Amino acid sequence: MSAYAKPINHLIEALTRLPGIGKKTASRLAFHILRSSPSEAQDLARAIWDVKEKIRLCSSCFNLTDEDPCLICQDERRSREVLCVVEGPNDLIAIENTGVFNGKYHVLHGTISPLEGIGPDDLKIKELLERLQKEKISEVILATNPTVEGGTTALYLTDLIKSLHIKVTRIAYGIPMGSEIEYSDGMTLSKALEGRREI
Amino acid sequence: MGFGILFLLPMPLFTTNAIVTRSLNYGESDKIITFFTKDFGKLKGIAKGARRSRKRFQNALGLFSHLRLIFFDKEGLGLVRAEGCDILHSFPKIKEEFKKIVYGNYYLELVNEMAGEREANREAFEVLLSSLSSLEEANLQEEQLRIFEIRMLSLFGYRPNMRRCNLCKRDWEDLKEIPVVFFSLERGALICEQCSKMRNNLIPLSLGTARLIEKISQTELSKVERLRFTLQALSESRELLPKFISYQLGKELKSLKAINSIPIHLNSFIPLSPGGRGTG
Repeated sequence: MSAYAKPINHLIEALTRLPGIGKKTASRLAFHILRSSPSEAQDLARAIWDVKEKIRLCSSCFNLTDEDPCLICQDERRSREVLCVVEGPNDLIAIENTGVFNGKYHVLHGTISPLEGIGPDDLKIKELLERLQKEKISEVILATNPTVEGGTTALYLTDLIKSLHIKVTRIAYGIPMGSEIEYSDGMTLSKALEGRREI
Repeated sequence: MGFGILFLLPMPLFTTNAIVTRSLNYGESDKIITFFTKDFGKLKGIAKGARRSRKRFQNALGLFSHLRLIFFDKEGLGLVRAEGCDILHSFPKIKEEFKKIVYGNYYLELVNEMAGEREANREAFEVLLSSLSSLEEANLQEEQLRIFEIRMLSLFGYRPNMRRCNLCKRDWEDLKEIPVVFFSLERGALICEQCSKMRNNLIPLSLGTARLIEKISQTELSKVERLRFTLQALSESRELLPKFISYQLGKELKSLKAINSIPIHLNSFIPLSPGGRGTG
């Protein structure tokens, strides 16, 4: 039997179900919530509920949004000609945070992974092709991860998109900024050499 | 002996050659990896911090990677702990071609499903390694895939018995006048036409295909690619082998299911199974 009162125990148990939260951290968080003001606790509860209630997928790019189409798709200042294809919403945020890309996105929500039984039909690929046929897009940037699954998805999409006579590019990969050549693996170095460019 | 002394005992550290056959993200920065190793068979392991580590596992834990793996293994625990690895070969040319990736995934899944955990099978390791090398270097040939299936069935103890009718025991010599025999999925063996009546789960095949499958099961790996498939043998073994594998494993392989959802123009050279839309 737990020494905590029932509601505290319930909160600890609920927090323990979150990724990366163990019992000890959950207890700490539960006591922090207990000590906070009622309005702070209500804010937290409302924020959790709002995420579940209001967030859905944008009908155009399939990013997570609370209004449809999403703010990025609505933004008239962004180029409609370049489309960046990403695996998930977190990748979109990472690229968006660079402030360098000014086109639109398409979120696949996964990668092709035959070993896990994930085929093209399980991703937003059909929707991507429909978009490419409807919208005037001149370049598709494939920003899938440089993993086997990300590469498989990029290869698959390249064939499909090229058949629509649209330029396909893939984000460059190689040595990360701030790292050292000495510690890079052979594959990364060879990709970096292949992808070199004139300066 | 006090607990303090127990605590000081080091976990046993091992080194072996391994091929990554499955790789899943776990938690925020870890990976759960399935290795098919040369000395310990199939091992599941956790690679702590693998998604963030720039030194220990850099780019090494992707599918197909052939590694020199260092791991800790505490007896009784299911997962080993990957401590580090050196890449021996990462099969980059497989990863550059969609169809090769699909074939390769099928190879890996087949091994994952057939291999028992911690049951060393050096020959199966060598067959997987050399099959991945052939896949990387050569043009895609369906024969390679069928040979791989037959060899793995044989090496993991599912070898189909093709030498004689499993019921009346008549061998090839006695059956040579009969144009068609059957393969029983239940028995994993050949059945002659006479004995086939009133039986289920039978796949018709010619005696020539039965002989070829038997020969591939027995021939040395280095010589096996010299054996030639006729069109009939190829078509019959395509009908038989994936079904037999699914029957033995009690499930359809996921990679086959995913492949069947690939548009026809892309998988026209991927005749993995008769159920697929590949044309062969």
